[in-house]
Amino acid sequence: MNRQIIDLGVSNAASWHGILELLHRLCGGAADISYGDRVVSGFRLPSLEIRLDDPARLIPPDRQGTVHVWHDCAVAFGAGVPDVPAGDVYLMPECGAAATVYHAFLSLTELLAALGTTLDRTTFQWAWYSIPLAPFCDDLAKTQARWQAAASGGAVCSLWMRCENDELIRSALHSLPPCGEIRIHNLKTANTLIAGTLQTDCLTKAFGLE
Amino acid sequence: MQQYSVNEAAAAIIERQVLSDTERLQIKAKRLANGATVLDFGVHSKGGFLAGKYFAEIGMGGLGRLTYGTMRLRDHLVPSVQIFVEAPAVCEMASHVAFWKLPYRGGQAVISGPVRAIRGADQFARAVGYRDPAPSKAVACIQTGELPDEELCELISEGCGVSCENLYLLAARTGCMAGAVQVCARNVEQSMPTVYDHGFPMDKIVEASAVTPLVSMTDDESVAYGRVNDCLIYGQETNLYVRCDDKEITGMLDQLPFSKNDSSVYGVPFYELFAKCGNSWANVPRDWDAPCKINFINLTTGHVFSTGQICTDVLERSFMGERGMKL
Repeated sequence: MNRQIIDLGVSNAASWHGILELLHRLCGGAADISYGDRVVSGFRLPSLEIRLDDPARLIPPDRQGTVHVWHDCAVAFGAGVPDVPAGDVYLMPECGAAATVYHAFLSLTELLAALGTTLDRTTFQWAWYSIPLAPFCDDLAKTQARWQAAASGGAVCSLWMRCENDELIRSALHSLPPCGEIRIHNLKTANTLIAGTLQTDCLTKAFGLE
Repeated sequence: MQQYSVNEAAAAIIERQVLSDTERLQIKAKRLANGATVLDFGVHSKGGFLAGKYFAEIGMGGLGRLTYGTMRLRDHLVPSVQIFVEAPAVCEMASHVAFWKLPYRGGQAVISGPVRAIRGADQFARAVGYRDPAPSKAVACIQTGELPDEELCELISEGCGVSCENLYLLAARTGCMAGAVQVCARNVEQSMPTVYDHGFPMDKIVEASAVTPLVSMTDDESVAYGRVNDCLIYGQETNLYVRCDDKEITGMLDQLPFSKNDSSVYGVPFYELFAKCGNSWANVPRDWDAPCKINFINLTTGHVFSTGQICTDVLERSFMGERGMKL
């Protein structure tokens, strides 16, 4: 089995750069991904900025406990190399920069999957996603809550798609759980429909910025 | 700079980075019967963020870099296109500027890109002393909804003196991501000819950068065209780093930005303005192709000057569309 084990911070210092390489791979290379910054209550925090050329193909992983299985690789939290089908394995600590960036990316995959339950995914053309990277800490539960807050209150997503009818989009947006601000730009009608809003107060509290 | 070939540099990007990666970039390359290579960056191809970045950087002859960022549009964050330019006179005036007009099928084809630097194809290319030193290849770009054919390639070839077999022609429509990105990347490209029109010497512009909000696109090519031009005239901000006397800047500041036009023009979406001109650039007054905002940073004096303003009203209308809504 020709497999690589890539350590994103378990026993070395790799984190910020390595995780971007992973995300690029998970997008099939069809993405421009970078770090930016977002201001939350006067704190300039790093953000993850994703520009997707093929949002239709980005499917969430199969979660098997602390192992996430993607179509051609796996992500595992902790030091142990999991027993998964052939493919590279990326190891990362449960908390930390790499895990925070990874979970920020996951929130986009979950948002697209949620939209795909009511809209035709094959019509998704391009997507842009900006999400503040939550202040992670050694407390896993606290960090996980902050990841969730970032996704539900701090993320901004633009999705360009084709739909015959703006009403279908409206209906899809109504059915979404809180996900920050989501805008769908209908290429057919030239209209934009927006749902959700940035929850700065909640983010401030969740991030411990008070 | 006289030894640097914008066409060779652009061709190198195409041959080393683009042609081997067309599937990932979601573009197509086609060799025509006359040997010219047409690169479909978004006519029939999808044309996304990655393709748009390459289109712009190729058009700048390897002297410009595009990065994506974020801007605030009132209550909304929107993606933005940032351009960083070296040797602005060569990068923009001699290469990137879209001003070489070729009579084609009863109208005109507007060509941009390094090809303009071979013979100084138009007034802006001729405004600078740079000529591409004996390029073996020519690279041209066009914003169009139809894939270029042999006839257009032969016109370009005759005009620049490089054979069709050694010509690359990049094409993208406006109503796709790559098309919108490459137009939004024409921020410095829009500012420099405006500054030139007012007599400012191009060799006094040392560096340049700019940012444009990427607000909207749509399948309707004419609506897309209007909206992406709104991004430039109402939303782009250019920084020009210059060495000159402050008076050379202050003397022209009021005349530069799009906001100098009266209310019958300023505040009107470009879609409507263009329609008033019969949807032909030949009828568009020169003053209407003006940048939103320019900052001059004078390296000689340390002073900074600014002119123009962002118009969020028009940009927000473009962002939302006529019947957009916030749920």
